[in-house]
Amino acid sequence: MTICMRYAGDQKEAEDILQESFITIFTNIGQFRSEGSFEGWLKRIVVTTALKILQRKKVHISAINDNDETIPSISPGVLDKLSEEELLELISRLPEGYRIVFNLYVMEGYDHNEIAGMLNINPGTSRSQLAKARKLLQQQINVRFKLPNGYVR
Amino acid sequence: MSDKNFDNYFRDRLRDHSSPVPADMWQRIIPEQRRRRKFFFWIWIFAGAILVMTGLFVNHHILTPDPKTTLVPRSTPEPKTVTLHLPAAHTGKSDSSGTVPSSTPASTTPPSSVTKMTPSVPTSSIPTHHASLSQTRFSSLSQPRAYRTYHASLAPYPISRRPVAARSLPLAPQSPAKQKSKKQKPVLPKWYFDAYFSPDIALIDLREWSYTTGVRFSKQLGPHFSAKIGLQFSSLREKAKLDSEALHIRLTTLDIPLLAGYQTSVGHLATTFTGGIILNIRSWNTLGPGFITHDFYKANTGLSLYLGLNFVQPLNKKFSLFAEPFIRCRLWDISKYPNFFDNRMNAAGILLGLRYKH
Repeated sequence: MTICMRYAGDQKEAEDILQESFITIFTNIGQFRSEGSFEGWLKRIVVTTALKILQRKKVHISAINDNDETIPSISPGVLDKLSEEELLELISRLPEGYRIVFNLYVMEGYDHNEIAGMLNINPGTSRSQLAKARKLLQQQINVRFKLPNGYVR
Repeated sequence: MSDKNFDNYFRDRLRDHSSPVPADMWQRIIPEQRRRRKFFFWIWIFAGAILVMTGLFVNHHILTPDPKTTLVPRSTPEPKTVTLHLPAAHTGKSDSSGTVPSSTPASTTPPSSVTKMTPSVPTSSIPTHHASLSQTRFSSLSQPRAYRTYHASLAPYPISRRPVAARSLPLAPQSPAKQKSKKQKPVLPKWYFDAYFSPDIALIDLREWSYTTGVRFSKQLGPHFSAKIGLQFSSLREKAKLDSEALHIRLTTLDIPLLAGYQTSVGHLATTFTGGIILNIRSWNTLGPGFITHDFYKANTGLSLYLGLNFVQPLNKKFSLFAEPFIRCRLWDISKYPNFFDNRMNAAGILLGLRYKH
């Protein structure tokens, strides 16, 4: 469910991804080869299902001009104050293109060439999307801790 | 904090984190799985029905034979009865001059003294030329063969020592009733060669047209069965949409079809059910426009299942035209990452071609 929530924009979309993933797993359970771990196989199916659903939504991923101002870096101590649910929420608030590339690169461990092949984009586009995702996350974290009472605008 | 540390922090915090699953998730999964199985079952039933209906339509409207050209059998002549006549029995006295009476030409009518022979004469009891022979039913055979006359219509038949009964010899062709009872086996060609072109569609996307072209060699293995092998080239296209941009996917393949055929008849028409596998030799794919062509699909897409229904319209003794609606389904996904995109690019079409029979 955590993987679904990382790719989805909200709880309902996460549940749709989880439902589709389980159906795919039960349908293709006979194709599992014991070469790798079962958990890894399940994880791949959930990730691919999430990408399929997002493709149906016609997510547009295009190159961006990164001319934004520099964002002050965050100290590790600040991140420790955030719970896992809050981190998931920060990721879900990202635009869909940034969120997909961030998850595939940071969480799944794919490189930019592999991401470009999966999403039919340029590797350069993948890099720029990832850089933008990091900056937005840092912005959100800074805003969260600058506002009184921890509320996010 | 560097980018790498930032990434590592998110990964380490969220890698083993588990979120609660909705309580009704299981109830939502099972009915959906059953619904999908039924859907694919009816897809196959629908495809088979389309195939049969196409065949019946082609047979009824296009390939029905013209009644004016139907052959009418000639009337058979009445069987003629021919009686075999042989010269009369000799009295037993030989000719003192020792001369042999001249032979009577076969075209002349037999003498009035000709008697009819009975069939029950064993060969060993044929008497020799001797005066002591009494006038028996065998004595006519004592005369030299030159005396024996026979009717002109019996000329083709060999003369044997065994007397032939004076009975009707049916020489005429069999009656129509007997002719009909005999089944005339059609003369089947030993082999035949097909060249064809087919407009195709990808079953997942009906908007783009595709095509297949190829040649096929068939060997007849009996009255009904045949084996086929060929070489064909296919270009299958699909259109996908990513946001506002159109993504054109083209899959080009070079294949070897290995098929078997069972010939039967539907109405007046010879029909062949064709089925088998198609072995892919090589595949190429392109994605465009505006996207980098990426090595996303396999270079060999493996085996496909093939099912078709062949209808033939002869032009002359050697050449025929044929139409064969078909459906082709790949056994495996064509992408290198099957868990991401389940895409087999199955296709349907109708082969239209020329056949040469040997």
